[in-house]
Amino acid sequence: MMARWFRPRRGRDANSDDMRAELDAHIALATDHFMARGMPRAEAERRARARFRDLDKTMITLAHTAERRRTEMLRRELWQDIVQDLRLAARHCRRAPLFFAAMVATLAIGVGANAGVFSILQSTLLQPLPYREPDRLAMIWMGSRGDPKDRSILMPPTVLAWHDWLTNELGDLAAVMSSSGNPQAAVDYVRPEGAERLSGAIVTPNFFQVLGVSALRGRVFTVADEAKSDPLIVLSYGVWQSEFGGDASVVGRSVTLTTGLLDRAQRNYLVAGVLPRDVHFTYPVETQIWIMAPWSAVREYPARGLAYQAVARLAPGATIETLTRRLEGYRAGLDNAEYHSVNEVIRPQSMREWVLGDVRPSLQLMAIVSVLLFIVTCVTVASGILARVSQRQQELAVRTAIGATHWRLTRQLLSEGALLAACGAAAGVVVAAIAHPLLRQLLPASVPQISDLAGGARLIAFGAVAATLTTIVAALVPAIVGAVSHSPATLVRASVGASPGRAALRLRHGLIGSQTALATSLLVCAALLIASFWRLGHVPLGFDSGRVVTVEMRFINPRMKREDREAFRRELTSGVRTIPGVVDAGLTTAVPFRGTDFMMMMPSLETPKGALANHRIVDAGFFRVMRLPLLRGRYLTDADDANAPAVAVVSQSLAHTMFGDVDPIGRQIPFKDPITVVGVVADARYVRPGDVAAPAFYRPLAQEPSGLLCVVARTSVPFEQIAPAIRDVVHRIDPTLPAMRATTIDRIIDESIAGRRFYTVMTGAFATIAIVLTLGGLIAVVARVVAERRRELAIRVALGASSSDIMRSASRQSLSAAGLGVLTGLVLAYALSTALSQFLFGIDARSVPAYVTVGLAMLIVAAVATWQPLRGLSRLPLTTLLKAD
Amino acid sequence: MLVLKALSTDRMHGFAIALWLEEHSSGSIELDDSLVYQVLHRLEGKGYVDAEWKVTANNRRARVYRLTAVGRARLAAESEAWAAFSRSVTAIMRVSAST
Repeated sequence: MMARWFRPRRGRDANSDDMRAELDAHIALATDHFMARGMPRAEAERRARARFRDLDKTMITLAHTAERRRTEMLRRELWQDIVQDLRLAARHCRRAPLFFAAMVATLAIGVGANAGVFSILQSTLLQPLPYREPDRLAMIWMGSRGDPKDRSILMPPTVLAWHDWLTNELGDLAAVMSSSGNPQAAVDYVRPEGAERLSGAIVTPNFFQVLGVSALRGRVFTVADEAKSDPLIVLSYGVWQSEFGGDASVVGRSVTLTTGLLDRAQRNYLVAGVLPRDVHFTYPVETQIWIMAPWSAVREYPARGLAYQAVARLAPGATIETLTRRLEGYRAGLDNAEYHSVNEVIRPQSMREWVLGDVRPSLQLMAIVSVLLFIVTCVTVASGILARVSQRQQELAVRTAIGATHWRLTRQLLSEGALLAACGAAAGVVVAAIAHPLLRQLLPASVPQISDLAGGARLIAFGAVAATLTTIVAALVPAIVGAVSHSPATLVRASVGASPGRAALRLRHGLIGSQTALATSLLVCAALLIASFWRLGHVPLGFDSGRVVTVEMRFINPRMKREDREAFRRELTSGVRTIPGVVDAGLTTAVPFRGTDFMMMMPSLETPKGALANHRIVDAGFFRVMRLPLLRGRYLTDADDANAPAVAVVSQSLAHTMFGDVDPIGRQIPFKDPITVVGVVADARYVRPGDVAAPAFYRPLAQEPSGLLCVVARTSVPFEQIAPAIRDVVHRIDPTLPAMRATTIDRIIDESIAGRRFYTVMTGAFATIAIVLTLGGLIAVVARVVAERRRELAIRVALGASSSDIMRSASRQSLSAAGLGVLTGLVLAYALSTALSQFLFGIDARSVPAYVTVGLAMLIVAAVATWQPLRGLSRLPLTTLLKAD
Repeated sequence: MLVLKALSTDRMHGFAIALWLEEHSSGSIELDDSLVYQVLHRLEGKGYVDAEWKVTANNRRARVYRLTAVGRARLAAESEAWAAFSRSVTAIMRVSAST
């Protein structure tokens, strides 16, 4: 179709010359006519000209008309060409329905998978954060000098000092304390029918101005609110919908919340406004209620146990570095030790890094994997089209012989490609649409979805672009490399059934090789990830997590009297134990893999530095429920009450650190009131299943009261039957306590590895697709080679070659191409291994057995794919082979 | 329609068509010759006529037009439509004359 556009524009001038000549002829003929009637020549010519009202204008008008007609004709011809090309393409596709279906399916899978990953990237990495000029926002932490990854939250004096030091020239700084990081910010929404635990955050008045966020309804806090006495809150869009039914009149209303930690009490707050839907600050748990704390309150809060995050907005022209330098400068100028620990540095982090930093590597892994699959799809379609072209060599050669240009044939291939692309894109979008809900389900909550998963128009656009790109590249390759040769030699070769040209063969084997290489590297990644995931799922936790239900009941009123608290505990455990299906129940301050697990430095007489250990306060039931293996001594019992001697159970690694090989039973830990070790239990993984079990120190609840209580219960029936009953027990004992989150430890573990599961499943699925495509491609190419070399092979058989000779000869090139591909793939995987290693647990990214296994597996796959089409060949009698020609 | 009619009698160049129209309308149609060419070129574009350069009897080169098969069919259709139209107009005119 483009041929016409390139045709030299000779038509217009020729047309206007023609027209001039025609009009001249007209005047001459008319002059002749009038002279024949006796007029003198001059008069006759005048009459002839006079018959035109305006000769020059006529010329122009006629030229215009002619030009318009010409353009129209060209357009019509172009359209006819396109239609003709497409019709021809459709006919070809109908003639090879299997080939067409296979190509469309390949495109559908490749495009669908890529569209899925694209929609995830689009809603996360590619999305700007929902704040004004988000690039100017930064989180500022303190971190220990030695550990670049260390980022800790800030004590109130630090935040206050930073806020005072910052000038407008550098920017503004707000402080936020969220309930995930600090119990002070935990909020219970109190309604007549019961309380509800919400995730809250305490922020300074300038917080929303620093973020650059305005309210959907009402208003956000402003600096002017600092002086006001009314306690204000702002609602998230989500909680506005779920708790207030999206009622606009909630703005200005007063709601009752239970807030605070040490001073926990019910207070009334005025709803100032509601945030827009897309504004989130914490992922994945959205902050639901924002409570304003004036700077003066930050100053007055008792500093102990409170910690803030600092959000800074940089002034135009200021950078994170200048801001940090300035803060460091102020800090160094102070003598106060509070600000001047040499071991700590100010460690800023861009907002984007804070939100997306943790998930970026895994999303990038997904992107790499999907690009690899995309290339595999490209190569598969290219080699498919190439095989088709070589099959049609004779037809193309005949068309060349009767005058079709190289460009005409290329155009034909391109239109077949366009048809394929259109069908492939459509099918791909359908695949993506089907996979969309699945993807949404599989996507772990830890991935901050800044916007909803892309769907609809954007997905279709992506699908169309991806499919078109794939096919055009795939269709152009054979055309460019010269598989569509229009030399007479091709005609001859095609007509006598000789083997295809060297360039075409080389290209075909190159494609096999690259396809195998990509599939191999994908398979290595998938194998490593799957092995790592399996290991993670089977890592010994140190306790028995099966059928253990937990209810997190933190923050019991700290002002409760000691006896009341003990009564509450007793009532709670005995209440839970009487629920049918509950085998045993216990209490603890820390549930495994839940985040809250306090560290404490153990003083020791043996080791001068002491030992760092997790400090868990539990009751006797805890050990029975968790089935923590007892290695020495005894568990804690109900007899270890407030009046009994202070005792503790230590974990194996803590016993070893503190006492070495000496029997720890009966030894004392020299706190102010010494504590006697009565038992040693096995180490338990508590933070993440993949982390090494840390030393731990267990103390009886009766001797060391805590407001942070969690129920653990071993059950004999499914979780769903127990959870409501446990909540009922809690509600019966204290109706003011909010409904608590109940779950099982297995579910917690499951959620904690959801991210890994996600990319492992995705990579595994992509690798499988890549292998299937490679296998299909290999079989198709070898079958093609065999078909093309039939005559030659038959002659060889006639000359006495054995069937194994034939098979070797026919498969050698394809096999060696595949073999080279496998090797390249292993090298490629090795190159990716550094990036991959951060995703692995318990297996080396350069694990030799994994590489060898994958390499061998791919070679076997290649061998099977190669010999499959050959098997039939060796069994065929010679006559059949020759008859084929 | 008129140009097609002229060409249905013979091949003609533009001037001859203009003359033919003048003669057969008994001089009642007096054309601007440019109109003839505009019509001819449009008809050519639609494929009703085609043209080639020829040498006339008095030894002049001229672009001679010829009716194509499509043009002939078109002429037949148009003449039929015109006849029908003219019949109905005539009929109406008669009615109004008698009342």
